Amino acid sequence: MYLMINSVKFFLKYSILPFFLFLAGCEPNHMDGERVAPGIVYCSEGDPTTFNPQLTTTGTTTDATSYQLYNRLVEYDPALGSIMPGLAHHWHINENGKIYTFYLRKEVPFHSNKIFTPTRHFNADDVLFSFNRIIDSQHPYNQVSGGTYPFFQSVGFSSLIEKIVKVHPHMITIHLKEKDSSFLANLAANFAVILSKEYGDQLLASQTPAKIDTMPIGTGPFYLDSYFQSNHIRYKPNKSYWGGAPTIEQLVFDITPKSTNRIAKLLTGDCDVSALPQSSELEILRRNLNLELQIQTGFNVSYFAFNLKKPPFDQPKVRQAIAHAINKRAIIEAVYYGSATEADSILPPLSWAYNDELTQYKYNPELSKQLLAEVGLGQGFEMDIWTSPVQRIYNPNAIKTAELLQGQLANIGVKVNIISYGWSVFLGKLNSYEYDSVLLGWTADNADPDNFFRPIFSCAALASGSNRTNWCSQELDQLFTKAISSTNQKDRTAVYHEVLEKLNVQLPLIPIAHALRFQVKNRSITGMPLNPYGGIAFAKSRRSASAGSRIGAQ
Amino acid sequence: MWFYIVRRFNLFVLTVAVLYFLVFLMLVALPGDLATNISGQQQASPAQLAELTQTYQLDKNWFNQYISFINQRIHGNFGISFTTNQPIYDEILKFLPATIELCVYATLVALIVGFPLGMLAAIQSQKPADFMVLGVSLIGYSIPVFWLGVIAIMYFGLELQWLPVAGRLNLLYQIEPITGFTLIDIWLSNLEYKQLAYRDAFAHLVMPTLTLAVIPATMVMRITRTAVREELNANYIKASQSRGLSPATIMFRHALPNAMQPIISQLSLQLSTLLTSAMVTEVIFSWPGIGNWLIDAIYQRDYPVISAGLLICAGFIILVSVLTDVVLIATTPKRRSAIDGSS
Amino acid sequence: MARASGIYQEEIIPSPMRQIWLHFLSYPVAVLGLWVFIILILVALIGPFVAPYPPHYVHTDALLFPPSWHPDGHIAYFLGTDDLGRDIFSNLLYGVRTTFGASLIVTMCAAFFGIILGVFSGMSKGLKSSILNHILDATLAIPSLLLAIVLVAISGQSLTNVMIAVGVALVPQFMRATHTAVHHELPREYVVAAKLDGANQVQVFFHVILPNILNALVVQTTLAISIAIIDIATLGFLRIGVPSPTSEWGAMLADGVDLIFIAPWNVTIPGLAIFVSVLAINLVGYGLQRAVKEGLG
Repeated sequence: MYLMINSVKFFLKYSILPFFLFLAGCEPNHMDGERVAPGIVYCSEGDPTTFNPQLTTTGTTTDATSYQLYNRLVEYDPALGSIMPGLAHHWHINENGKIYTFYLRKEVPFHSNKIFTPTRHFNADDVLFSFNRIIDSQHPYNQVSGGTYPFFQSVGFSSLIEKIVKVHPHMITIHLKEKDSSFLANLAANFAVILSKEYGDQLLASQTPAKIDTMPIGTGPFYLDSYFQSNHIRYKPNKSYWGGAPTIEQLVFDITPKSTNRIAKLLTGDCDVSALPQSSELEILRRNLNLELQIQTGFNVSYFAFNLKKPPFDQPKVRQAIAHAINKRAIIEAVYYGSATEADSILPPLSWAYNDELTQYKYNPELSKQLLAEVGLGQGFEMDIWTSPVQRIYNPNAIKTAELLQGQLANIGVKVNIISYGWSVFLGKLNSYEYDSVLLGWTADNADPDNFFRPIFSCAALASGSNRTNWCSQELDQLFTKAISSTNQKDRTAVYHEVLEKLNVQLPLIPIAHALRFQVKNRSITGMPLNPYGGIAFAKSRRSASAGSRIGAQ
Repeated sequence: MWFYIVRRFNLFVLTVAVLYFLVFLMLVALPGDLATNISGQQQASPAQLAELTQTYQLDKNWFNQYISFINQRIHGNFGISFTTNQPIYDEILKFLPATIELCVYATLVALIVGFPLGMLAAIQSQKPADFMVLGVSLIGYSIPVFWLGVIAIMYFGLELQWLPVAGRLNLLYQIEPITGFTLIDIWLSNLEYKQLAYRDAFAHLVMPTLTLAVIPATMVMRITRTAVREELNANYIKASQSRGLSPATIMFRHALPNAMQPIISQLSLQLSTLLTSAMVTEVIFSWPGIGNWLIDAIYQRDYPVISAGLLICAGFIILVSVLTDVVLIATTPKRRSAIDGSS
Repeated sequence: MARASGIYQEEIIPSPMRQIWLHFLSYPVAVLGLWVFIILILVALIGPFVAPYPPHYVHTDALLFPPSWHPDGHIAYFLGTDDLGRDIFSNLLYGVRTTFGASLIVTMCAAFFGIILGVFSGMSKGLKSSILNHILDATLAIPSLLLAIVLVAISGQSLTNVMIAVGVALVPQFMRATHTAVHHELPREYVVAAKLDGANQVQVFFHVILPNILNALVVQTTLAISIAIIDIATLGFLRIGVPSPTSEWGAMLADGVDLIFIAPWNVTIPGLAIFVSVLAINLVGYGLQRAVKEGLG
């Protein structure tokens, strides 16, 4: 028997040993590793719903498209807070503020892909094509890919624009029906991108118009190389980009919905830049010398909206009672780890239209119970809170927020059920307004306060689906119009103060917090300022050579 | 022998038919229209609806519907996904190689580790080595895969930062998915940095493979231990020992080949455990395989994908069990009578 | 296996059950497993009364406290708190009910139905048996967890639905075990003898076959409990199991994963709880298996 054991030992030695050698062989030794191609991997938080930002208002989609693939007529410069030239190198507005003339850049090439090679450069036809698709219901592309343009509908684009005229191939005029001081800012928004008419015509001829939104062609710094759903998006630099070709050889969006995974990938070097780190992880990031944390005060708000068509939320007292039962401080501590400020109106305090004289809904469960008793709901009731399943800039963890609300509302006898779906299902289901209440938020695209009002509260937004309160008032709509028809900041401030006061009484939604905005990146990546209005742009990013050869390992 | 194989094949067809029926029942039971659930066409236009009714014979009775459902699926028409609107068949082809890759490596590791240890335990029966192996296998078998995966990530990925924790390859390596198996694809690619890419791919494989290998390894250990021990107690072994054959000859020429039979047939039964753990492992390590795809489909309430995933997984398990049966029948006459006697 | 006791040379042969029990007691690890098992049952019964806090009580001033043995820990929160300031120890105690208790109940129900169906398929012959066999093969081919996931997807998330789903997914395994055991016993001589004595099917089953397959069933049951625990916890971990306000170990672990950088004890502790309970059951199962084999063999 002894011999037998020995022979087996021998066998074991030679069968197991190679295995461990094999393991040792694959231990990564990144220290001496050279980077493959000087590219950048960005850990993004989700799949884009489309490759055309005109069709959506979700930040994930615009991040993956607007600044990478496309350009706008004019661009918003967050550092200067002013409108900068884009595809239009300059423009002027006539005295009554109704006619905008844009002089378009020449020699701007479009991307090409497997099915399309452009024969001409960008010109006025493309601008007309891009905007007419949105405003002209007879346009062949109007109904393609669903036919909803939520941002443009919420700001009333089609009723605002009288006509767009091509004066000559590099000059257009846009005629407005009435004065709108936010118009230029809206043209600079993430959503107002310019598509290729030539591509559109070709797709129409081959009867596959929907490809315009799935196989995008733009003028931006990168073109789409490949997209593997729920996994990654690969971009290649547009070598003939009019603004100067990007220096990186490729850009990859690594779709990583879980924040923990994004940080892990950042630490292990699979990612160079990461979206939305969770506030709880900031300490870890600060401690790591390879990583740089960028912080910005965000122009955003997270809110708790009621469906005003559903009793008992049609009664303002019920909404106010709930407002009194919410301890925003606790939410900010637990969900945001203090990296946010309590919101007392939809508008962040940074905005020039902010109203600091609003009556606040103090945390007061007793008062809340009393209010409920006044409307005959003293015994409490049951309600659903719908929560977005993915992390957003304005709310790092909506489910956790909902759990906190669940606990806080239980104190006043309200039983809360938390409902959550996958992101795309969630957005789809929201549009049928089956919910009692929903936790959502908004990130502004520009500094104009109008961006916080019309997309969230106007009747037009109700139709396009970005107004989640299922309620709108003519009175407010008139005030919104009044505010944008003036260019005088003082007059506008007065109107917005009035709006905020009305909203504070009606309380169709309870603002919860204004979150700080974070971005983490490897120190070797430069040229990526953090934009307070959301949106991420890689056009000017680069990887510095010295630190570029290391993949994270310490 | 052919009789048994034909018979087993019949069993296979019937079992698959029952499986299809269960999945069909599920599609009926799920919320929403059968037409939508079966085809994945949401908001179908009247023309599309008519076409669907035609393809799946939705205007006929349930039996016709069931038959045309099988017919479509067998011809590779799995409908389209609710979330991506892509043909599910293409998605399966996209995700399946990753799962197979992971499972194959994990099985290899499990065999390489489990088999010798099981043999050792059998030889050293009732001695410390045996108890060690038993203890290890009991512990390994009781660890929840997801916990093990998370702990591994925590320690090797985040604490020591030795190994990447998610995905198959650093995305900067642009590898065309020709076969879908990363290592083969790297080999086929004309990448400049093949060596680095291999190393990166290996690094990404280590943690998921080892995590997934734990449970199968413990099973291989236990099964090998039992089977080899039984063989070693058989009379013919004692006879060969008394004939003075060397222990190694006895082990590798006599005991092991005979023990292989029960080992293989038992292991094929463990395939469903392997697949389940693979699903969870894929989720933890963001491995873009069938399991991840399926779990995601469940979050998204993507019923056509869920049904396709069920068909693929269960169909694969049935297929493998039939194949092992056939192989075993073909190689051992002893089993034929056993099969014959059982039903 | 005769034992001598007393002054007189007296042979007492223990009953088979007692023999199994005595054998079982001779494996210390199995006994340890049994103790853990008993403690878990006790905790499932009285847990809510001994837990220091309600499971979802949010201690706003005690966010992310580490376990009490850690320098920063606090004895009031024995195993620390999570990111909402909920006491992990209390949650764990409540979780014994959902994860461990529920799997016990589920296994009992699954065993009941599975064994009945298995007996029917095992005792029947010809076409009936063949049809039952194919249905069984097909359901067995669907991994139990996958089946449970789909059932939850159909019926919606709630504790009852999760239990039903896990239970339904376990039934085929019980059927298979019973079927095989019955099939194994049917052609034995003693069964034939009983039949020749004129016993009918029912009598043959209850008086002849059942006592002989009971052991196999007990072993299968312990295996099923561990599968049920893992399944419930896995469903919870994937967040398609018991909905959020209920304390469940798998879901606790999943919540903990988000805190893996700052509060790793949120991952280790619930995982350890699952591991220990599954291990305890596997030890008991292993002990029983050995005891049955030696006690009867």
